[in-house]
Amino acid sequence: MRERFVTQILLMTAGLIIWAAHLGFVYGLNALACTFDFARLELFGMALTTLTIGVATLIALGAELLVLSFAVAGLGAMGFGGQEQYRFMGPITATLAGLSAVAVLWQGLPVLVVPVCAGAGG
Amino acid sequence: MTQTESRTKGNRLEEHLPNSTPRPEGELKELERVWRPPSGWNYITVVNNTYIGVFYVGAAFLFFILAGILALVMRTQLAVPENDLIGQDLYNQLFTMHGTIMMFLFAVPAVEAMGVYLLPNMQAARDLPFPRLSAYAFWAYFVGGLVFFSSIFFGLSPKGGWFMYPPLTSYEFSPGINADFWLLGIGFIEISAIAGAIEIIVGVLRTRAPGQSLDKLPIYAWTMLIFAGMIVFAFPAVILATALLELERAFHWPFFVAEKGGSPLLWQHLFWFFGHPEVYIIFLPAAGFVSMIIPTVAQTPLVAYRLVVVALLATGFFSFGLWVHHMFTTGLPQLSLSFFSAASMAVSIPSGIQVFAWIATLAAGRIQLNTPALFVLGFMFTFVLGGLTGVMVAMVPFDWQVHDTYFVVAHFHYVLFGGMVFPLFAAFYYWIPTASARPLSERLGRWVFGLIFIGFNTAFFPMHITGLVGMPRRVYTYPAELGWDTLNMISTAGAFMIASGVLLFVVDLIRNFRPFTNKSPGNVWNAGTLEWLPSGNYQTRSIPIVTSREPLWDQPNLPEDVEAGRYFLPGAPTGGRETIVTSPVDARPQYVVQMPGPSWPTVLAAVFTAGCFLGLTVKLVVPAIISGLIAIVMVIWWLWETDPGPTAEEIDIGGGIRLPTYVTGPMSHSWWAMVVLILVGGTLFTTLIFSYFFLWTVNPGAWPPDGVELPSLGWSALAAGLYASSSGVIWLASALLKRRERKGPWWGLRLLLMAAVPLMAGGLAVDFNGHWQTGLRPEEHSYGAVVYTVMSVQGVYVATLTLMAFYTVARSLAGMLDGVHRVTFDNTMLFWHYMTAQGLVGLAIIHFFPRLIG
Ligand code: HEM
Repeated sequence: MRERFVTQILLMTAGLIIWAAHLGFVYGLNALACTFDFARLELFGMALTTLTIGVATLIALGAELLVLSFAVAGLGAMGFGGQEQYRFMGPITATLAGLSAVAVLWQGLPVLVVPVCAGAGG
Repeated sequence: MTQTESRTKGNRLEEHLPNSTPRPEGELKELERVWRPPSGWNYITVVNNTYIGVFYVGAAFLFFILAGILALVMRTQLAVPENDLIGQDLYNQLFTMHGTIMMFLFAVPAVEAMGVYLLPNMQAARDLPFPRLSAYAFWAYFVGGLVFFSSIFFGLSPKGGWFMYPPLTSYEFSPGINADFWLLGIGFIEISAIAGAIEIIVGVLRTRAPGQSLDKLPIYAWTMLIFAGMIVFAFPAVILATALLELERAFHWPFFVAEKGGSPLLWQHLFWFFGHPEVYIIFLPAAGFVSMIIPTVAQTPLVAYRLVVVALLATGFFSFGLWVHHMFTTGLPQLSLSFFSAASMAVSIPSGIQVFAWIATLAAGRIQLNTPALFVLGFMFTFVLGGLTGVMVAMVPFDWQVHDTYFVVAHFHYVLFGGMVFPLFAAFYYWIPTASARPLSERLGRWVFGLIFIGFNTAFFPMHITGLVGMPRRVYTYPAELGWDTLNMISTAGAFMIASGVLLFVVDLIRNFRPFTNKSPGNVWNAGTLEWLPSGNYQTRSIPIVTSREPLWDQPNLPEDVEAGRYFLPGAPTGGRETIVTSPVDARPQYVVQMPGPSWPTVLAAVFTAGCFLGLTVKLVVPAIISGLIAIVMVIWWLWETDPGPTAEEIDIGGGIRLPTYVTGPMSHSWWAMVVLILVGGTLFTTLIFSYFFLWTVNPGAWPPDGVELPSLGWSALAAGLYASSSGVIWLASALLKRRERKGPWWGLRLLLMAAVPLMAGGLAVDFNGHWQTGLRPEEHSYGAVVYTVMSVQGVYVATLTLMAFYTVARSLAGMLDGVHRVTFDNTMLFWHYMTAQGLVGLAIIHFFPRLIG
């Protein structure tokens, strides 16, 4: 049985990688929106930035759930190159995806309550 | 057990063990000879991790004491109001040096040094895979650190605070060389930390005891793996930041000067992208100590091992989400700040998981209250308190209240001292029996703990209150009528109590610490992991098969069988230093790596590298260049012996397993190290590109600024073509070399390498010329500065690769390179392709992006 170290590690930390991608995206978008003043653009009566961040959050959450279910449904055993490694890495994958989903949610929620470009100094 | 019973048990085990006893005569002698450190003056060329590790920890501890003395001077000054013992200028130097030394010269090196010492022992490897690299990292750090420290005696110390915010630290407000000391010193020490991290990553993943698969890896090794991974992704940011600020100071390239399109916020982003993970970089290995000590103290395996691994991985990631956290009061959009408040919350979950796993383990076993246990309990108390104030600081409005007051000083000392110094002392008391002929004294140990613990809380608890009643940090004195005197006096008394505890520890060391004797008091705490196997300079006599997380608890007779040589590789079959390289997940033996021994050039390379940086700092450019050149020659000399090729066909390590002594390609440890190095380079480049885009958002309408033309696309296409074709030539050389197998050295390879060099250099020259012709200069605007920096970084790669190409040709001329014996070539090749990729990305961004938005 061949080891596929890189695949296995990426799979195991997929939840965290999705979290990082989400953070980078929402932070970058927010910074750009405020710098270039497109934060005021609206679509269907909602700020475009808010909408985009909302959608990105939903996509990220979906991806986390996908990883989670992949790891939980023994499907993972294939991805991990065998039952033995799966026994160790499968639960880690699932827990990390769950944890990251919470973190993504935390990151996404402020959009609903905080105006996009209000200065922090108040 | 009767004698017959024990014999039959022994026989039964013997059938499963890879090697039979008695071992041939002279085998042990040979093993001892091979691993013996040199004597006399040559002693300082030693590379064994058990020696370098101890030196390294010792040096870090020395810096702890030095920075502690600076703290005592500050505390003496603050003991009474309106004290005129020292003035503002010296006080500024003191806190900057104290903070800088504690963070860069003590905390990170100390935990890295413990890794160098402990990891091979815990994994039953004979040494880390690149022993000379650890020796180099140690010497560079030691020499560089001492020079950096002595700047305080000449009034040359930096005084901009440990995070050195520009514009205060740039040429306008900090002329003189004080800030340069910080920038070059720290940049240099970070490079040494990265060298150590590469070593640790490859060591943890590739040199383990057979059978020690990822699920049986000691938690400490996990923490060090994640620690090193975090260094790879965090430290390049601070190296870039220091490089940019140094470029600004030395050549007036305006990255942080607002009038010229720069922004001081860029520094803060780069610095804190590193700075916040830094806290966790320090904390993770310390948590690793705790996760090793607690099971031993409670005599039961760690509860929820898998969950702790989850917590470590999550901490590693989430902590990077915190960088903007430090800039709460700088006026970023509120929403951005909420993201980071969220990340602060997220990172507290994994810390909580670990604390619960520790408590559950303690509850599951029967605690022995020895000195390591006391320090661990002290750690848990302090760290939890620091965590609570951390949550307070993470709440944005509260942060505005206490920002820059003593509340913050109290908070981060609870986190840093609590989170790292207590575990470190626990680790000293716990592991010293593996390194010394005698353990430290339990009686003195209790006193040491008591003094440090009570002293610490006496010193730092009152600071919360001092802060809440309004005393700002970084002031050298305060007026009497504000009512801050009593609190400050108590803090000072506490500080001296800590000092007496540390002093007592030194007394204990002097009385009992006897390293390098090959004698040991044995497994004094009845621990379960491999570092407690009987060992010598060669580590363990034979390398065990591991079937459990606590092999010493679960595998009967393991120490005896290991010591008798019944496990793998009981001798030194190649006649030199070697260890088993295993696969990264399952730890299956793959090959036997031959490792280099003691060497002068390694030590000299470190000394001259430090000399080069020092020369640059004090603006002695010619000596700096000479020193740098000598360093390069030394590195080449040291490397020359490190790619020995297949000296023996295959080696029998026991149990019918025959392993090759040389492999190339993705399986080889050297390939792995190169890939990690490329990750470092990639991170550095990514942060540079981030800076490019960040500066663009500062100058949205003017990118490039008015009056600046972009070079025509033809130039950039030509440059791209040249880079790509140089890589193509290297690729061709690799393919042809492979076909030749062992047909000996080959002139065609030399020709191709020599053809690739001008192509690569041509790419750079064409790109540079394109910008130069348009009249773009780096000093006028941040745009030019960042464009020239991208090219300069590329220039460093081009220069390095030119050197590597010549080196590879020299290896070929010396008959040390062919289709099989080709690790040197492979390294050059990997690095080359990376250079090309980076060059192409840089070209694409610099030439297309402004056109895209313009
Ligand atoms: C040995 C006991 C220690 C004492 C008595 C002590 C005392 C102090 C004092 C008096 C200050 C200056 C406060 C101010 O004026 O703003 C300070 C700052 C600082 N300390 Fe400590 N400290 C100790 C240990 C440590 C340790 C172990 C670390 C880190 C691992 C550390 C990291 C820092 C940092 C980063 C600063 C901030 C420097 C700056 O403002 O730029 N300290 N400490």
